Amino acid sequence: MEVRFLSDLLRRGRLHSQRSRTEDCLATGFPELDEELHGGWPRAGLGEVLCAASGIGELRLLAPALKGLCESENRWIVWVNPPHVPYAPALERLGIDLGKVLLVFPKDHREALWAFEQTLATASCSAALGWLSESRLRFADIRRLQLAARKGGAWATLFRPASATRHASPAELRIEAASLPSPPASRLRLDIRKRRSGWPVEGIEVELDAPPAPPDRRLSLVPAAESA
Amino acid sequence: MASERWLGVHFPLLKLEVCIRRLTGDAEVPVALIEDGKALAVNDVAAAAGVLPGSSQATAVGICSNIVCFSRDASAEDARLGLLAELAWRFTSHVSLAGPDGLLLEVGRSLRLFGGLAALCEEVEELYRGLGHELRLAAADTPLAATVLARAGTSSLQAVPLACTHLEPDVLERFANMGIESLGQVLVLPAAELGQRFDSELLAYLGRLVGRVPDPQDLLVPTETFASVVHLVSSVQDGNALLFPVRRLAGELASWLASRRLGASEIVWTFTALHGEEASLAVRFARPRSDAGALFDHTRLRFEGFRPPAEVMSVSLRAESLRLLKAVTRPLLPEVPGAGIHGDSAALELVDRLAARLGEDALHGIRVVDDHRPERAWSIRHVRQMHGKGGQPRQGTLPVRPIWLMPVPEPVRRGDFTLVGECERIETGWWDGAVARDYFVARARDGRQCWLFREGKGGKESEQKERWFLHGYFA
Repeated sequence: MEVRFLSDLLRRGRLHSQRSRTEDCLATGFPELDEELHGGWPRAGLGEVLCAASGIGELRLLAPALKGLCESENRWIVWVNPPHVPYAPALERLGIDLGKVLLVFPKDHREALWAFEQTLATASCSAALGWLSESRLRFADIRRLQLAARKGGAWATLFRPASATRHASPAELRIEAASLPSPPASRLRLDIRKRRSGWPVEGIEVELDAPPAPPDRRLSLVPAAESA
Repeated sequence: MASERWLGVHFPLLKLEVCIRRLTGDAEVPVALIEDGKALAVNDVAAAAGVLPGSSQATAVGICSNIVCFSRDASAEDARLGLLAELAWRFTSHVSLAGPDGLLLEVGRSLRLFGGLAALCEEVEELYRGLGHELRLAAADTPLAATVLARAGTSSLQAVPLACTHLEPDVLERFANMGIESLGQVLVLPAAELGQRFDSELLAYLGRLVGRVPDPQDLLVPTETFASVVHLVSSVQDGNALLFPVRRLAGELASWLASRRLGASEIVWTFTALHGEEASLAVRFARPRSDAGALFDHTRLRFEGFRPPAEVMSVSLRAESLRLLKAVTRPLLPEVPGAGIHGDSAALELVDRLAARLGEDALHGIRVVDDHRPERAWSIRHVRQMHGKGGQPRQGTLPVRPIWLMPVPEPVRRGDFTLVGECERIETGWWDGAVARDYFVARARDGRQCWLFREGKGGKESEQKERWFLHGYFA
């Protein structure tokens, strides 16, 4: 067995502190990502997903974990200030229980921040997804959200533009996502900018739930071959 | 009936207290109730300053320049007594009104439940003192005795001054001329003698007092809704100052609800300005509430975005949708199976909190609708009517759909996208608003996964006439 230096171990994420155990994490549904995150998304904490353009698959990246939460917990999945109303048939297809989906549309940034924090802190939501005004978002606000998520035992995700990587953030996880031009499967390239007990890592590739071919509505005229 | 036991409740300062409710703020100010130019009653602060009941209004103002003078408001007193009576239903179902400032509770059957008379009296006192009322209690075997004892503030009928009874002034005067001032002195007189000198009404009264003559009481019948008003002394500009009367009314409603084992799912506040302008504020609850804390907290949250009219003069509270609270407030099992998230009180509490500050319209649920047209295949639903899942879970492979669907399809140039995968034909008949579209998953230049469609009859027309639309993003 080859000898490894401590720094080497740390960099590879093979060694990490006691706090990051698997039970503190939610499996992402992507084994290659779970490994880098030492188990998955923070079960009680704030993560940031940064992407240059909205609509590259950033929500499908969260979908397997959200589906798992719907099945295991009787708490809300709250969407704070989403840019659009999420499309019910799409969520249904991803296995998200629509009965647990609560959409919150605040009037302004102050209300949005308040609603996000309240939602996280009251312990009655398992996951919360938030979209906040980037120009008015301050470091201290994110810290409050992070603390609220810890307190309420909620997995919080804040969606931000890729340009936000330039500024420091108290979020415990920051992932930058970019679309990979590789049709037909939709793939994302993930760069982990910040994670608990680990160095940043770049270039993780995950394959999102590839859109399957639409169901063939025409009747098959050729009978299936007899097995006998 | 031997088992009957009556508790008389007397509110000696009721006429003053209905006026004091109209003050905003908690500061102690001297208050006097003026009738015919004289102070009929004064509060502790005024008494401490030296204003005594009976002194003229001029004297009162002279002694105490900041004294607040009210004139008597008999209708407010009646309304208040009615409310106080309804609150007593928590102790017994036999509640009746006794005169302008008293109540009668038949507590014979409640004593064991409350752990004896002393414990019951303690609870009655706590309830009414908490609402700002001075009171005296007395228990007796007849309703009339309980009333006069409470009025007199003694425990022995013998010691009750005749002035505390219900006798007519001329009867009182004749007794006074005979040197008789207490009930004890009257009760020892032979009935025949009294009958000769006075009319039979006096004998009947004394008979009811000691239980020789039956004295049926009119029981109070519950009203269906709660409504209470506080008229303020001076107009209020500041929304925060309004929270004082709001807190008071919330406390009253909570007591009223508790006495009936009811919870309110909606309460409506109305603020009326000096010039008649009105503004209402409805506060809804995901589950019926009856605790003062929740009623007040949710109202206060709603206050942040609410602009009451300038110069508010009165605040009223109405509770209409009332539901019977379940006897067991804490379920034996942590969750009711099958009730899902909507049977979970913590989950509903979050909805209440958010709705209180952001308004009901800010919260939504979504559900799937069985419709071929993508834009009609879903609908918004009210978060309070989200029972069960969002539609029946469908079986089999569902067609691929984008998470963000544009409310209105956006015309685009075909050349800006790379089509991925196969075409999905969505077609509905003319009776359904005729849709004929070929949908494709496509990739935009910036990497977005898009849902495009081509309108038309499906490939039969020439390329130039094809119109392409962006209908959503696979976020």
